Amino acid sequence: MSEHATARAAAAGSCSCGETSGLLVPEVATILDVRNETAAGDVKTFRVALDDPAAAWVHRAGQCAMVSVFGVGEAMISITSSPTRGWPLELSIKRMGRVTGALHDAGPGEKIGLRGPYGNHFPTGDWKGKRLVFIAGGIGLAPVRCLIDYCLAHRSDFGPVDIIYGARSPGDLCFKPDIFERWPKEKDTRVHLTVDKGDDEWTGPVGFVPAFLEELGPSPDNAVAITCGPPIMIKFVLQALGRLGYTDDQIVTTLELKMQCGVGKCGRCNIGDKYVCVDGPVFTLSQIKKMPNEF
Amino acid sequence: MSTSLASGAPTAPKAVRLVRAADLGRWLDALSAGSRVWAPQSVGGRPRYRELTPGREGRLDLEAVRTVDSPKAALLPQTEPLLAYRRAKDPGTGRPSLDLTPVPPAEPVVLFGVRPCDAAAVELLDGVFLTGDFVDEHYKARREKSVIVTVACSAPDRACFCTSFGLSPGSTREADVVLYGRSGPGPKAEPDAYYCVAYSDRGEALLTSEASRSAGVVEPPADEGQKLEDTVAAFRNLPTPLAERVGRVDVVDKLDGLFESPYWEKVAARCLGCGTCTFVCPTCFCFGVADCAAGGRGVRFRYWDSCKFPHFLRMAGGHDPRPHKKHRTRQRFMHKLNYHYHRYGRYLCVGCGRCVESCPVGLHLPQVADEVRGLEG
Repeated sequence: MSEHATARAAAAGSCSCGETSGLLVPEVATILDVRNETAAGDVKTFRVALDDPAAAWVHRAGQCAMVSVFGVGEAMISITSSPTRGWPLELSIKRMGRVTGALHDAGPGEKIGLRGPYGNHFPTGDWKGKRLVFIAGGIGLAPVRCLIDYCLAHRSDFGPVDIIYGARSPGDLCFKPDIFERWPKEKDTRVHLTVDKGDDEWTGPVGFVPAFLEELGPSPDNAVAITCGPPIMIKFVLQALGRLGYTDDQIVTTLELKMQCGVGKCGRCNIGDKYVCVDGPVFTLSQIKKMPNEF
Repeated sequence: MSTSLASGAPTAPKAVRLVRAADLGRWLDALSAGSRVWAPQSVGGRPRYRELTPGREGRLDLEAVRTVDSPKAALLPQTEPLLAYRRAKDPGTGRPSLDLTPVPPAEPVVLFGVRPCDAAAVELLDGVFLTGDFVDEHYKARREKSVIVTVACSAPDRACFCTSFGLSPGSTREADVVLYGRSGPGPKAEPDAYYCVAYSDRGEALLTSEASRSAGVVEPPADEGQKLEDTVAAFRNLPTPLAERVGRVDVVDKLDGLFESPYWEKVAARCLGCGTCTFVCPTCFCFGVADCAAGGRGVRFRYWDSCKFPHFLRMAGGHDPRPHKKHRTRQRFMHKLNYHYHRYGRYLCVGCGRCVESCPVGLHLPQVADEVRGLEG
C-alpha cells in the first residue's frame, strides 16, 4: 500500500460511527472563506476545513481531492496549498461546469463534502540539488503553487528556482500576493511574468508562455521543468523545452480527465492501461509518450 | 473468495452430495429461509437472473444456456445507494448544515445456478474492487459473505466461447459449489439429478447444512464415485461452439501496436452506440456516481455506466478525449483485450456470449478478437 493510501485508510479508520462508511463517502467540510483570484471573478480560492478535525489527512504536492456539492455532484480538484501548511486546505477553482459553478455560488460557512487525498505526487525526492523551472498558464498555477511552496519550504534541498507564469491579461493572473510579493523575496528565486495582452498599467513582458520560455532560455543542465496549464499551452511548452535541450525525463506535467470515483474503480479516467486518478495526475513526458494519444 | 487472481486449477472437492431435479424447488425454498437467493428464472418466456421472491412470477430455469442479464447485479447492483444527505439552514442563525448518513451495503446473497463463465467473471470483478490501494467496502461486504452455486453447462450454444479464454463448461473458478447434471453433458440433457460438489468451506457448509439435508440434498450412492469423476471430466472437456471457430484468444501483444489502426473506423461504422453489450456483460464494471436530489435531501448513488455513451468522458468545459464513436468502440475492445490485461494480468472477458446474442448489429468481441489477428500492426 502506498503512503497516501495508508494515510487515507488511517483517516477512514477514525470514523466515529465505528463502521466502515464506504470508499466513496466524503467527510463534511466547511468553506471558511473565499478569495477572488481574477478580475473577472472566474477563479476563486476556497479555504476549507473538515468538521471532524480527527479525520484530517496529510496530502503530498500534486495530489487531489474529491469535492462534493450535495445535490449537484462531485469533482476532482487539485490541492493548491502546500502540505507544509497543513489544514485548512486551499482549493483554487475555475468556474467551468455544474459543480464548480455551485462552489462559486457558495459563500463562507457553506457545507461541502471532501474526500482524499488521491493520486500520485510530484517526485520531489528525485530532485535533490536540481534547478527547478516551473512553467504555468492561467489556473494551471494551482497545482504548481502547492509544489512551489513545498519546495520553498525545503529550500536547501533544491537549486535555483525559476517561476515562469502567464495569463491572458494582467487581471487573469492568479495568486497575486505570491507572484508579486512573496516568491520574488525567496532566496535564489526568480519570478517571470507575461500576459497575452497588456493593459494601461502593465509594464511587463507581453506574449504567450511558450515563446516567453524560449526567450528566457533556462538551461537544462541539472534541471527539472514542471509545467501545467491549458492543453494548447502545454503542447507548445513541451516543444520549446525540447528545443532548449530538455530530455523527456526532465519534463514533468499533470493530466486531467473526468473522474467519478478517484480510486481506480469506476473505469472512467483511463489513458490506455493507466488511470489518471491513481497512476497520475503527475507524469513525466517520457511516461506520457508511451501512452495512447487520447487525453 | 477462495482464490487469488492466479488460480485456475480445480481444487479438491470438500463435500459431495446429490439432489434430484424434482427437489431443487424445495432446496431453494430452504435456502431462501436463511438468505436472499438469486437464481435463473423464466420470466415472460425469457431467462432472467433475478432475486427469488416467493409468490412472484418466474419459474426456476436451471438449464437455460444463458440468462439475458448476468448475475453481476447480485454483487454490483445496477444502482446502489451510497449515502443519504440532508442540507438545511438553521432558521435562527441562517447557518448551513450538512448531515451525511452512509447507507449500509445490500445483504449478501446465495447466487444459485450461475454459469461457470459468469462465476469466473466474479473473479475479474474481485480484481477491480478488492485489490490495489483502495478496497471497495460496499462490494466487499456483499462478496465476502455471498455463496456461488454454479451449474455446469450441458449444451453450450453457438454463442459460447469460454474455452477461448481458458475456461470450460465445467470450470470451478470462484464456485463454492458446482452442480453437474448426473446424466452428463448433451444437447438434450434434462438431468433427473445433479451431483453437488463443494470446492470451498462456504460451499461445504451450505451443502452439509440441515436446511439442505432436509430438502433432499443427500449423500450420493457409494458406488457412484467413478461415475462422478467421469461426469465432471466430461463437462470440463466439453468444447464450446464459437471457440471452435475463434480459437484461443491471446491478442494482447498484437493490440499493443493497433491503437492507431484504421480497423477501428471500420468496426465503429457498424456500432450503434446503444451500450447493450456493456449492460449484459458480466465483466463490464464501469460506474458513475450521481445525486438524486429532492429539496435539501437526497441520495448519492452509483450506477452502471457505459463507455459507449457520448457523455462518458465529456468534461465540464466541453473537452472530450473520445468525441467520436470510433474512439469509444476502440476503448471497449482495447479495455477488454489489452488495457485490462496489462493492469490485472487477465482479459476482461469470459466468453459468455451475451454480446454475441444481444448486439443489434452483430458486432461482438469474439469476432473482433478474431479479426485483429490478421491486421497489419
